[in-house]
This record gives sequence, C-alpha cells and structure tokens, in this order.
Amino acid sequence: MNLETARQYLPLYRPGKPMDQKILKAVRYAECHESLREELGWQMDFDDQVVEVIHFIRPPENLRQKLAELSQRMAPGKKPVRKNLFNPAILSAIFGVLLLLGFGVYLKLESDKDFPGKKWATDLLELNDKMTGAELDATKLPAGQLTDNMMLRGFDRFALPTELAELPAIGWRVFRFSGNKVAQIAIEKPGSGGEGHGMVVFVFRASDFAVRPGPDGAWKVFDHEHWAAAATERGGLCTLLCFHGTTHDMEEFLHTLKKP
Amino acid sequence: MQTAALPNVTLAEFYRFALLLTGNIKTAEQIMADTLSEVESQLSEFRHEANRQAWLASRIRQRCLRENSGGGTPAPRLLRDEESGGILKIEAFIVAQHVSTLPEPHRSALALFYLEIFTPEEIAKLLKVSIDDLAGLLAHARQLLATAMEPRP
Repeated sequence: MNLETARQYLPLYRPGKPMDQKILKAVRYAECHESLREELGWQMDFDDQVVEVIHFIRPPENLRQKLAELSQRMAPGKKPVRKNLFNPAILSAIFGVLLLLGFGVYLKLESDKDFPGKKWATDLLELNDKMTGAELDATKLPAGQLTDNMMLRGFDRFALPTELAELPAIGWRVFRFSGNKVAQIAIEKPGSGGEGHGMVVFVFRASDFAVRPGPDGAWKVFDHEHWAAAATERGGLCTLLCFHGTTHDMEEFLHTLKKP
Repeated sequence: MQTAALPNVTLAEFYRFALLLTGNIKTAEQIMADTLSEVESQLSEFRHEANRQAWLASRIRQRCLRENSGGGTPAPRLLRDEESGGILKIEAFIVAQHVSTLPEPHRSALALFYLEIFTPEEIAKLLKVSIDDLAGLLAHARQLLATAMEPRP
C-alpha cells in the first residue's frame, strides 16, 4: 500500500459498512499519514453529516401500508383457494381451525425468536455498526484455527462450532464487553468471491452473559435492525453469527454449512 | 415486525434514494409506489430474485433517471416530518435538492453509498463501473456536493 493507492481507495470507506480488505488497508495507511488522515477525517465528517440529515427523510404512511400489504402477499406457502370452499359453513369451520393453528404457530414463532440473554446478543450486533474494521488483526487462517491466537489474547478454550471451523477468517480480536471477554472474527462469506460480503462471529462464555439460545445446540435465528443473526450454545460457549441480510438469508446460509 | 421479504427499514432507505435522485417528494413517492406496483405484478419473479435489493435499486434508479430526463427542474416542495407532523428538517430538504442536481452517475453513486444497504462492490456492480471508477466518482461527488452546500455570499 502506498500513498497513491490509499488515496484512491479512501473514498470507498464508510465506518460500519462491510469493507474489502484493500479499503481497510487504505484506512490503516491513512491513519499513519498526516495529510491522508486529514482527508479521511474530512470525508468521514462530511458523510456523517449528510447521512444524519438524510435520515430525517421518512417514507409516508401510504407507502408503508402498500409495503405491508405486499409483504403479506409475499409470504410463502399461499395456495389458491378452490371455489367449493366458499360455502359459509365450511368457511367458518376452516376459519376456526386456522385461527387456532395460527395462534399456535404465532406463539411458537415468537418463542423461537426470543431466548434468555437475547439483549446481550443484540448489543453485540449493534457493536458491529460502530467498528471500522481497523480494530481487527488480519489473518488468513481458517476460523477454527485461531485457538492459539485467542489464548494469547486471554480467551482460553476458544472453540467454534465444527460447521464454522473451516470458514476463512480475515480478521480477529479479543475484547472486553461489559467486563467479560469476547472473541470476534470477521469471515469471508462463502460464495461471495472475495467481494467484501463479510460476516462476523462472536464467541463468548454463555454464563458470562446468561445467554441461552437453546439446550440442544441448534441455531436460533433472529434479526435485529439490518442484521440477520444466529446463535448457538455448545460446551458452555455461545457463538453468535451475523451478516447484513434477512432471517431467510441466514436460514439459507446455515443450510449450506456442513452438519456437525 | 419486519418481514423477511421487504423490511420497513429497506423501504425507508429506498425512499431516501429516490428522493436524493429526484429532489422532489412527490416524484419520489410516485416512483416508490410504481416500483412496489411492479413488484406486485411480478411477485413470483421477485420472490425468487437472488438479490432483491439490487433489483429494487436498479428499478428505482431507472425510473428516477427517466423522470429526470423529462426536462425542467422539479419545483421544490417541503418535506413532511411524521414525528412532529410539520415540515421536515430544512437541511434534509436542501441536501436532497443538492444531491439531485449532481451529474450522473455521480448522483447515483453517492446516493447508493449513503444507503445502509449496499457494499461498494455491490454499488459498482449496480452502476456497471469498476471499483476504482466508483472511488473516483464518490470523491468527485463529495466535492461537488460540498461546494454546492457552501453558503453563498
């Protein structure tokens, strides 16, 4: 990385966004270079101001309403209703059964989304938005082979779920969150072709934050703001996996992983 | 509750995008409504679209550019602020107006960059430019916007 290359890539930088390594390198270079640091500071300040201002722009209610209707129609699994089902008696019976089923499904979905300690998990997700990427140490190791690195930084007995162990890590760190140690790994999402579509994994002791995603080691999928996340607890360690996307994206991604 | 298909936060981002590209609240609302109608009419295709957000951004941008090429500068309109029920912060209006006057593809590059949705690589792909060119566009767009927003004597 030299001055010219760093200056070329700096305009692509925005804190909190998933970034390609070359952009992060440019930022690290700029931080050690007086004039570039000044340019980057101006840029970040300018962007912050513009973004803050444009966030006052909100869509009107009629568009939200239209979106809500559209989203309902996009829910999968809708089948065309046959004509002979329009008999009022049959409709009433079906409606009653559906109401009961719907309520049961609703309760199940709601209980599936929430788990003890979820607030800590969402706090960690929000932490991603405040990061520049420069906080992480670069690595080319598979994520599962960072045990020694983590131990040297004070996170003993670090382990990842086996299905994540082979994923290529691009950065890592150990930091304290509310007084407890948390390991964080940035991973290149499989299939992104190195195009900067990253994901982040947090590992911490479940007992430190009383996070209990579930007793059976299964992934608990949920979303928070623009983050899709999945959490699991195995051997006393809680693993929180996240990337920008939807719960549907996360479920699809988890299906692509090798079974433990 | 947000839906997985089209979260409300995404709608807000795309609405901002349309407003930044057109600088006109009425036009932006119309473009968003038309785009949602298009989604409605092509629901099965959209449901299977691998990158729905890129699809939406591309459609909204096409509509905005078509609208802008219609000639004439859109009359400034005051924006609503739902929370106060009054007028949107004047700064937001001014920024949207200034962004909408930037040349293409600088305007689209900057507007997409300020959304919380796309990575630089995705923006470059959407605009069909290289990542190096996108960096140049963003640098130039920021300068143009900063100059436009400087107070005039």
